[in-house]
Amino acid sequence: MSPGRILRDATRALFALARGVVGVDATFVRNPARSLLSFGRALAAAVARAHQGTAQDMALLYLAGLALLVVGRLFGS
Amino acid sequence: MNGPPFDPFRGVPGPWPWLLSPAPTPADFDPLGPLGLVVLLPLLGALLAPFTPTRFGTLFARTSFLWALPGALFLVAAAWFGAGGEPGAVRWLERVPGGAGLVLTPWNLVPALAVGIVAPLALAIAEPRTWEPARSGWLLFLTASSQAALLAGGPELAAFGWLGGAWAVFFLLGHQDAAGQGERAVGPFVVHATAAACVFIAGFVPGFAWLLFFAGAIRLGVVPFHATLLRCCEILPTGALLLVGVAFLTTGLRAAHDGLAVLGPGPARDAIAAASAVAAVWSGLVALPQDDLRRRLGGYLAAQGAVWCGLLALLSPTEGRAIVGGWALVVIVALVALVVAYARLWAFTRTGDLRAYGGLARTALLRSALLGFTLFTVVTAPLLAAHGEPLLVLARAVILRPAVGAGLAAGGALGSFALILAVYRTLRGAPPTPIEAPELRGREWWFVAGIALTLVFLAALEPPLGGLGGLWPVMP
Repeated sequence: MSPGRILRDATRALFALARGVVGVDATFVRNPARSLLSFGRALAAAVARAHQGTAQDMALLYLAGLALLVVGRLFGS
Repeated sequence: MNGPPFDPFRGVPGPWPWLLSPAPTPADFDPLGPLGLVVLLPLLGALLAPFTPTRFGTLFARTSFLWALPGALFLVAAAWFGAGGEPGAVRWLERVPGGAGLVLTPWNLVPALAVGIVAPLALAIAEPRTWEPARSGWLLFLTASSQAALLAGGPELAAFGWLGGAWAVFFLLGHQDAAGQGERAVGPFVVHATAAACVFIAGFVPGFAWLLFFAGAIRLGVVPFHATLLRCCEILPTGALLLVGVAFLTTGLRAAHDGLAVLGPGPARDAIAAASAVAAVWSGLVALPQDDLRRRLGGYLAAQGAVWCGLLALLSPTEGRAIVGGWALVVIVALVALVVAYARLWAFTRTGDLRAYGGLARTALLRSALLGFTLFTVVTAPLLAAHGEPLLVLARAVILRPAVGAGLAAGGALGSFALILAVYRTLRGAPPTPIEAPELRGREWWFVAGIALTLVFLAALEPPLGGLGGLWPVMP
């Protein structure tokens, strides 16, 4: 086999492998990402539905999160 | 592969000085001055954009680069006069209204300079839809937030900068994605907002400082976040692609470096090196069969990001900064030249589909030469940067850690091969469609002259910035 032929066959094999990887990538990387996004949206909708309070209540929730960070900063390290 | 002992002050300066280095006292800061222009002037321009009357919209967009120009000129002057200083010894500190501070040192001067020089170019480059004030406004916002992230004197401003970058990308993507009503902008925003949250938590709680690596990996598009980078490259306007490419590369690399520095040597870093090798090969293989030139570029950047993360994990922080930083700067030069060369073609064809291009070597010799320069830079990047150190380090990794080293080398090579094939396809054969004025003309000459002048300027700098750590030969 000539070197040119070997190179061409190797390139074809590489591209065949790459196309396979792209298929796997779509299945195992992009689809889970889409599922995560959908899950996040569903969660946000559920929180919005469950939350009956005012904007001040939501602000308090955020402040509680910040307070957790403060606790982490004071006692975490 | 660990080098000399790690000095926290020299190793982790800039955006997170509170974590591992002595914090500047309030007395160290000067009142707001020219350094503030780098962040606040583009921010002011961005805030004025929505209030520009419709009949002045085009004028605003055409002149929007002027908002970024003074900051760029200041950074160039700072590089010229401050390049010869001892690293860490020369610092320019300014107080920002609201209690935050900006810090410029030889450590963060290079990334800030890269973003500063590219910002006016990104605002003036040819686009498929010409001169839109909304786009210019968000580009200015992205410039301001990226510079804030790079120059921040504390973790709060750095986190704001990162979050601002996520919002700017969200709106720039949504602005382009008219057909999908902005739906395709949501995923990248969620991912980049997560990165900003990681920076916020890392800056606030020292125990979680390793999250900086996670944030850096997101911005660099390392697997499994490569889909975000590929989508950004595909959809973003040309100027935004250029600015996001440079800004996310510099901020991401900085965060990844600092996160790994905090992590210290151990099994975690070894695991990250191994994972980066797998990610590099994966990104390179994903980049190869992409039909869209911009997605190929995204795949190349993702593969490079994984290679850099792997090298940063293998090397000591002080070694990694020079070697990976130098390599990244060569890639930035290649990226700028590539986008400048393709901008007018993208503006005419309105697509990145590879089938729309071909035969450029027959019809546009000078543009082809610019693309040839890009190819040369991409291929020789590890050799050009830091006096060839990256290539030596890769070779050393292949010998000492064969699986990891070979993975990193193969991933980098596959990503480069994907980009080279795409550019080659543009150059060879006969033109598939008549491309309007494919030769360099008008503004493009200014851009090319600007790139050449910048490279000469970088070569003329004194050490330690001289040639930006071996990016270009230092003038005698």
